[in-house]
Amino acid sequence: MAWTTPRTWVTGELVTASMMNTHIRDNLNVLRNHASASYTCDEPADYQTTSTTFVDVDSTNLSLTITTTGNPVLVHFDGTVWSYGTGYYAYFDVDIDGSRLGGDDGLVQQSGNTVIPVSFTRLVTGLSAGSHTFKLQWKSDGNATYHPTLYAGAGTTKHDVHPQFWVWET
Amino acid sequence: MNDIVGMKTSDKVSKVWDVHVDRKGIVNLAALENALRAELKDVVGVSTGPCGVRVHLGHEPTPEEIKLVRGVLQKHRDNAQTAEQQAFQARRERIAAISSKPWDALTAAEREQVLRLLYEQFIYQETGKLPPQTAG
Repeated sequence: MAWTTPRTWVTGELVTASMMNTHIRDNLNVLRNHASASYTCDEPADYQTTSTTFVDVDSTNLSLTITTTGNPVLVHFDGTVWSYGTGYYAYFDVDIDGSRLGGDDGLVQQSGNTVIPVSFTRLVTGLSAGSHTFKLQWKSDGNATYHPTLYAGAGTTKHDVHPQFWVWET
Repeated sequence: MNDIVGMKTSDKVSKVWDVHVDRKGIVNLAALENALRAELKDVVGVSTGPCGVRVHLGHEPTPEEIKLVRGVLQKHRDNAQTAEQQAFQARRERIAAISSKPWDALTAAEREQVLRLLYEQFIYQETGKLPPQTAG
């Protein structure tokens, strides 16, 4: 259902059921039913990568498709990551329909030889009305020994936490 | 194991091709990547997760290369350690050997071990890597 520019009502005009359904019922439904999708991880295994190029964290579960009406979209991720230490980073980005939102080294990065929460919320503008796919992506610094881990509710001792990825049309 | 080859445009500039292997269980990423790099060119990295193992390549793999990937995964044992991992393991064993004693009870050789460990810790914190290991 698409948004219709609200009518300018004129004194004395006949208000029909069709007008009311289009400008009141349908538009209120559009406002109420924001296109959205989300996924909260509770996986049998945590995620790890040694990739030095951005790749999907999980092309099945952390890939969300919504059909929008052309409004800006909020994209959010929160999770807990362990990187090995000084100078070794995990980088995160969001791929939208084949193009990364952040570009360069992504939206956020994490480092520190400890367990650190990673979170971002971004407002994405300029998307046309229609279907869009949002994929959470990441990369590491490239040393295979010092690769990052994204905990995914896999029961890892003291790190059984659950990241979430969602998209929401405003 | 299932192999699925997918081409992704995952960067504004570069492309990555994935070979997906439905292997569950623990994977020693560092050792696995080393083994893959010994057999294949253009290995961008390896990822693991609930859906199995994905080997990321900078080119579209041939059927022979997909078989190579499958072969490396079949041979992979998660307790196989890289040289760096062995160095970390040896370091943990050295710490464990002396950590049960107070400083006054340490021998001269054990105190030298402590100095070596502090040196390694300092280098690791400053550079992110352990210094080269010496024999003994």
